Amino acid sequence: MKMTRRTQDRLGALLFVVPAIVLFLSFKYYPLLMTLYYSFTDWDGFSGDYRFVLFDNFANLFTESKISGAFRNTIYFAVASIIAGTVVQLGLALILVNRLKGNRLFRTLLYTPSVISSLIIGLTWLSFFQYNGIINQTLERIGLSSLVRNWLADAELTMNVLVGINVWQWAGYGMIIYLTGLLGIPTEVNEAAALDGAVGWRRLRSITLPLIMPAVTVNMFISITGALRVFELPFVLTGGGPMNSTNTVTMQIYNTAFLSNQFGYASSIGLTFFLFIAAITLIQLRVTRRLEVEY
Amino acid sequence: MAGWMSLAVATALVSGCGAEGNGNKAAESSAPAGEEQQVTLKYASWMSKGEDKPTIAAFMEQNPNIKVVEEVIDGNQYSQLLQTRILSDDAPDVFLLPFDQYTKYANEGHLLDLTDEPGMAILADNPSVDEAFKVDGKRYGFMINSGAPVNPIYYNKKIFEKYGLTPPTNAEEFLAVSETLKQNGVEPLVFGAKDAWTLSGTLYSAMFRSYALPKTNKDIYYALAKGEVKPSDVIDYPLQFIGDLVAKGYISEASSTLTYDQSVQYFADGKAAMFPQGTWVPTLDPIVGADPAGFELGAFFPPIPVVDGKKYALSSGDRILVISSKTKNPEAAKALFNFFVQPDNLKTYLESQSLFTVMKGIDVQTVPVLQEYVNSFSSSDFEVVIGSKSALTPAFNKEVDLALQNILVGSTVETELKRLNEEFEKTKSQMVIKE
Repeated sequence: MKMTRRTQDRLGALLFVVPAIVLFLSFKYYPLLMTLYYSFTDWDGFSGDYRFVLFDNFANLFTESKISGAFRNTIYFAVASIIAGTVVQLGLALILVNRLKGNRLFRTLLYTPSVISSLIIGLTWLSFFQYNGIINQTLERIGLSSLVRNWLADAELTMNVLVGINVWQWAGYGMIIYLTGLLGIPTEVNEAAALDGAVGWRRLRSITLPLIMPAVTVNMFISITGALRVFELPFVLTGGGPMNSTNTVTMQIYNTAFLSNQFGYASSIGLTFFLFIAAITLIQLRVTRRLEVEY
Repeated sequence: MAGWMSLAVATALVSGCGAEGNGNKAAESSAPAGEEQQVTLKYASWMSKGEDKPTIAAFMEQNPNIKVVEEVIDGNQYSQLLQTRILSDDAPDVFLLPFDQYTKYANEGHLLDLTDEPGMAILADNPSVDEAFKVDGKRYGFMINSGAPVNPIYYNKKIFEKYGLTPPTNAEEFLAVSETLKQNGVEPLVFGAKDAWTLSGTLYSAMFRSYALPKTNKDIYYALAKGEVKPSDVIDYPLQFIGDLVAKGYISEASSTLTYDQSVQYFADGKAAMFPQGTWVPTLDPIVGADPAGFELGAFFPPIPVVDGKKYALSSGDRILVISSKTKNPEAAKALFNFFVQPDNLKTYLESQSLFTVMKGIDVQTVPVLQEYVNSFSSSDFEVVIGSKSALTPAFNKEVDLALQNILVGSTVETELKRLNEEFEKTKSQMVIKE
């Protein structure tokens, strides 16, 4: 049977796609399905024996204070990071959208931290925020000893330090997305707004923000998923301490699986967290898309 | 299948955490025609400062057909990463193992039976050690070093001389020395508590063991596993002791964020007067290279509790050498094992790092600074218990680490004891018991 040219093209295309599909199914969906399977067991991750415990794991995770604490910490980190991050990213974008001298250099410098591994970022900031680190030493040298803090060992303070580092790391990345949105606003819209007397805060609120909502949608989505999955920063800087104040859900999953040898339970936490992130991002997408305007 | 499934789930969990896998090559062996078979072995440990290199190099020189590729796994994550490797059928051929995982791995069939290896002959002179490491009558590992039954507290002689202090011999004197130092603006103690083992594996463990052994018929972990005591029954005193040191301001505030390496440097720089640590400290570069004008190393025996006129300590093994049951090159792996534990080689290894052993037949010379401290072990009021019929789970050990770290930053002893009791119950069923 002779194949048509179209069929040949399709088969050729399929051949190119198959390796990617196989890899994707093997390393994304198969583990996901196995996680689902194990979440209903008490498997310790080690022995071949395990029992099906149905929904016991899911029931336990809603009653364990360590898990709820990890969720609280993660939500705090995400909310604080997104609020502070949006202000910083948008602020930088609004400044650098203007044709200033050294504009490109600043954009590059600000973007650089986002391409560095969070582990490296964490290790670098560790030397700054340790009690005898660069920040405290500098404060002492300039006569501001009263501001010396145990930045990474103060339960009231440490999570905010992590938020600050996260905001710094992703400031350039978000700024580029907002910058793209700002540059997409037609010049005549801005000129018309200026002629109508819309300047400053009013112009930002009534003209700029509505017109860059597509960029906000994308940026929010990336920020929410990224912040909720935070792992490397607390892992390197604090190990979840002090007093579990920086113990995030991903760290809890890791500890439950690899330290407590409760793979089944860890799978149930992972799955619940996956559903939580999916729900939050769906809500976010619906809300921010509604705010987008046509022009 | 189980290995694949384990790997898949581990991948799913860890990918969510953003961690990266640990790539490595499988052990290779090839036999070119007409040549002696070349074998490559993987050897894994947490020895990040090249402690094992001289032994490995000497072995390869003597066995040119065996190449040993060393893998150093981060000590803080060693148990977890090793477990992942074993689960995915990617265990190193020969590796060091902490005691708390030894019996479990042996029971699960992950370790090669080494009962009849020539290197085990020395155990005939050490029946208590032999018994501690036998699982169902078989030997799966060799205790390279015992870990000091009680780790010393190092002090800076220059600082002590300056304030007319002498090494304390009991808890009261220890607190008095600390108070004097504090009053003179000197930080009495420093730990590298970001690496939690520096807290739990030094002063705390010495206090804990001496306090808890007589309360538990000299087997703390067995008593815990059997439910004869709760963690709070045996951990209360040592935690309270550490808590008091924190409350009185005797532990440097820097401790909570210093790593182990940084704490060594901190002490060598003369920023703190006392440093509870392992017996290897005198050989470390920052100590050896410290400015003699401001630093001179001394060591004293920590102020452990005395019960009915006796002091107790426990030795369970620090670095246990084992072979994976899945090794593709068992003969080469056994050759490395036997070379490593050969008494002369072991003596060189231990002395070069100032490590402690309770094995008779290995005459290890102690560095002069630790001589007095070592003499304390031979006193008649001191009893060293070898091994245990059980072991705490890594998960609970981590909780003890956390408790100490929390106390260091202001948590109360009561809160931590309550938490430890709760956490213990969650993983108690995982404790392996040898009856």
